[in-house]
Amino acid sequence: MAILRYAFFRLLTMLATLVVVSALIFVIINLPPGDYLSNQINELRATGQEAGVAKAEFLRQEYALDRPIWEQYLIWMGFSEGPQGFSGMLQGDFGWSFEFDEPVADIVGEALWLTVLVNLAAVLFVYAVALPLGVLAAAKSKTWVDYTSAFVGYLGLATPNFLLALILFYYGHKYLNLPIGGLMDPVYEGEPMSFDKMWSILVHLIIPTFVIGTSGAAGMMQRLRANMLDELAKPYVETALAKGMAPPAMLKKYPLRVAFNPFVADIGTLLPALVSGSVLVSVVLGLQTIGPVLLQALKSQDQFLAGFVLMFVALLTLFGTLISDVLLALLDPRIRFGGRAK
Amino acid sequence: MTALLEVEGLSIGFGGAAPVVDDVSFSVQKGETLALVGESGSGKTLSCRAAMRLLPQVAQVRAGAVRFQGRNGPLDIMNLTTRQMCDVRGDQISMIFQEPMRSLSPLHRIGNQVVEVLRLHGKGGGAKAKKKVLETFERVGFPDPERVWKSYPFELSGGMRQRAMIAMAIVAEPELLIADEPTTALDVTTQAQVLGLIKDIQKETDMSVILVTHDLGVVANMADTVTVMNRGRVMESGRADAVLVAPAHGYTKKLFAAAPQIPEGCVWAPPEPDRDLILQMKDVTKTYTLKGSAPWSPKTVVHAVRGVNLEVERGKITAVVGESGSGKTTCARIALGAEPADAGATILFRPDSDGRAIDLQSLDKMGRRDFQRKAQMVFQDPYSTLNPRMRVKEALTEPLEIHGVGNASEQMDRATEILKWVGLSPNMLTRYPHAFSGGQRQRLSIARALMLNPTFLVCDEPTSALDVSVQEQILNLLEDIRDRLNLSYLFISHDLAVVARIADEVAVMRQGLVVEYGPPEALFFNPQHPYTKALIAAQPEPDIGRPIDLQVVAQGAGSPDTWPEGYRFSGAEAPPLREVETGHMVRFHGC
Repeated sequence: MAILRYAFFRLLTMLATLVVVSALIFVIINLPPGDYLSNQINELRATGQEAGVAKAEFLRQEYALDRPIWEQYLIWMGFSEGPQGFSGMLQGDFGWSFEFDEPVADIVGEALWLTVLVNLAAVLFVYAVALPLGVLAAAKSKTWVDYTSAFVGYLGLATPNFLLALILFYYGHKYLNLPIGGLMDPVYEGEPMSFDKMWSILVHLIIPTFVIGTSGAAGMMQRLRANMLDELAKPYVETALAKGMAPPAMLKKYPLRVAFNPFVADIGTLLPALVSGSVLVSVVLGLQTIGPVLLQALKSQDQFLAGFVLMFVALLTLFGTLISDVLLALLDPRIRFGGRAK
Repeated sequence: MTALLEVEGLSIGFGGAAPVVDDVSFSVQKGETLALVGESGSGKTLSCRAAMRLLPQVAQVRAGAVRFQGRNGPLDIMNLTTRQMCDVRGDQISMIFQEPMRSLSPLHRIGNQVVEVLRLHGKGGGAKAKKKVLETFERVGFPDPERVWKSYPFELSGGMRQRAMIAMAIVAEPELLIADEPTTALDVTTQAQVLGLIKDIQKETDMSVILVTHDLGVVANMADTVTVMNRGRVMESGRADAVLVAPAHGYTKKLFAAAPQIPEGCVWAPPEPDRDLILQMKDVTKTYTLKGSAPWSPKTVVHAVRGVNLEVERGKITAVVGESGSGKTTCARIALGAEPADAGATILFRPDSDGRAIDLQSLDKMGRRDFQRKAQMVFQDPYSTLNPRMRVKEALTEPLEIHGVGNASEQMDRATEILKWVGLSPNMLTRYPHAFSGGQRQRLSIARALMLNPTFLVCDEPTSALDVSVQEQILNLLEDIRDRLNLSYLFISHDLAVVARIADEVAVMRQGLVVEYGPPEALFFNPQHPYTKALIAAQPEPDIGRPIDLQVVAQGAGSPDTWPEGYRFSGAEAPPLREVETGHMVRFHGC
């Protein structure tokens, strides 16, 4: 029961944080002088294309870009009434992309879900690799097992992701006949979900997951190893051995449970790091995630598109933190019963 | 009669270095207690852990045999497989450790951790095992076993955790219990109760015990046989009565000489009425407000110190005694001005006997700086109070730099001089703290406190992290520099014997209140308050003829509600301090 109350309380603070973050995002996007439309208008005037100017001016009014920035923000969020009534993020209207001349929702639509999919796969990969390797490296510390895993890990950390991507594409295609680029066969793009499409996505996911996840897994593994080594030196480990537990069972039940905390706490930071870290990889690998979209939008000051993508990343971060906080409270009675102790 | 456990010619070493345990032999008979006595680094812990094969990975057993003659026939411990060793551990030989705070997993419920022993050794599971564990909890003195079963370690106090550890160790009914300094981390009264518990269980189950300790008082109370170790070798061993009454080896005699004892009683002179007080604390109260876990949960107010009056006479030592949580360290922090007392307190400090008194409660920034030059602190743990990255000379001259005293060469001269005073050599100035032993570090800590030429020192448990023989040296040093510099000390301790040795006046604190106050002779010869009596009774004496009287301990150390009627607190209201003889005050209800 207490845990539900805690989760609810964290959810409230998360919403408050989200509002603050949205204001920051909006301000930062608008920091460079001008906006997409006024830039366009200037350009059109310079080249004498007065016809386009009228349309751009119309759009400027339509999206309230001629109003002071705080009004623009309130309209964008849906807190106050704009030219089209209450129509902002809150109402599910994410705005218009000037660059692509399409509603933001249409542009990011599928990319959103693919982003979540790619990153979820990468997170799972990170955990699946780091957990056994980290524990093994700690349990067999200062043996060849430890040194080998550390070497492979550092290799993963040190190799630039895009380079790794290119190498893997080449050899993956040459020997395993893995597809190059994209997240699905072009045939399926825009098609409704089917068994074949799913299979195509899965096969396409292999290399991106590996590329995006390697460095995260390497870092995570080293952190887990260090935590485990700390825990292994604690007296309760000795107590467990003195009870007559076999070392492998002891390792699983006691130190791993304690060393797990930072592991779980990392979820919160892992998600955004993967999203923003994978922009370059997505460009190189030609993945249809929102990474490349964000890059493009920021470059051309396509403010509603950029704002939406950034908001999405912020939401992902906050959700990650929420998940890890709740998991931590479930895992660690000291956090759960913090108030009960004294 | 064959011994239950026999260790013969055991040698243990690390790497290529000389062995740290060298040809050590000892044995334990069935139902008896063997005390392994020695100072830190004597190899006593390694020797007893070898019996369970729980040595650090880098340690090598170079020679020796460990034979165990248990109910399952004779075992050659050193030649068992890992699997067989797991069967022995916890089932036939079990162990309890020094730090009950850290020896239990923080994330598992106590019941889960204890019942695991039964499960591991095939002694049943489910309801039957739980019943057995609950019985054991009751046996070790938990009033509510069901609650303990569901508790996490951090919800129990240190003494309670050690009881849980004992329950875990005895639940499978082992034949041998190895207790490695089981009470060192506990308060004296808790120590007395835990030792009494181990003794009772032993009587009931005919279990043997190996007790590793540095405290001769504990030995006298517990042991049937004693093995004294020093630098990895056995110095002396034999029946406890023989070794304790007439130690044969020089090292054992030295250990005895160093062990402080509570005096048997003597006369004292009543204090002169007109005293030159350097520190006067009056009506000092300190409350802390703790926030709840969530913003809406109510705040709790903790009364750390409640209306304490303390005085320190110039050139004398006033000691504050009490267990953890009694408010003694808060008193020390207030006396140093590190923390302000609640409004209403008066704290006066007179740097010179004819000078103006400084009111610590209303110091401005400049006044505080001046005061800090006159009042310094010596801390408890000499290992963590010195910055490992600062050379000795930097650590010593830093206070002078902060207060802008002298130039570099004057500061160095001062450091050299002070270092000589505390018995260290000036060529140690360029070393880092890790090159020093615990005792030497405490000397450094004292040297640093003396650098500013203070008149008043607060010593917060300055010897509790040290071995007895080193403790003796540090106490001598403190007395020596007090006489030389006419210093005054406020001495915080939980160890009555140390206080008896050094203090001129003693305040006994319990739950933020001074319950008895007077010169040490009055307190120890004629203790009035049940809590003081319990503290004195709980102090293990290295005298086999004076065992701990658990009755007295239990009565005085319990909650104030269980004290005899005249001393009881009624709610937050405590009885007043009354003078029973000149200079000797006790908190009780008058008739």
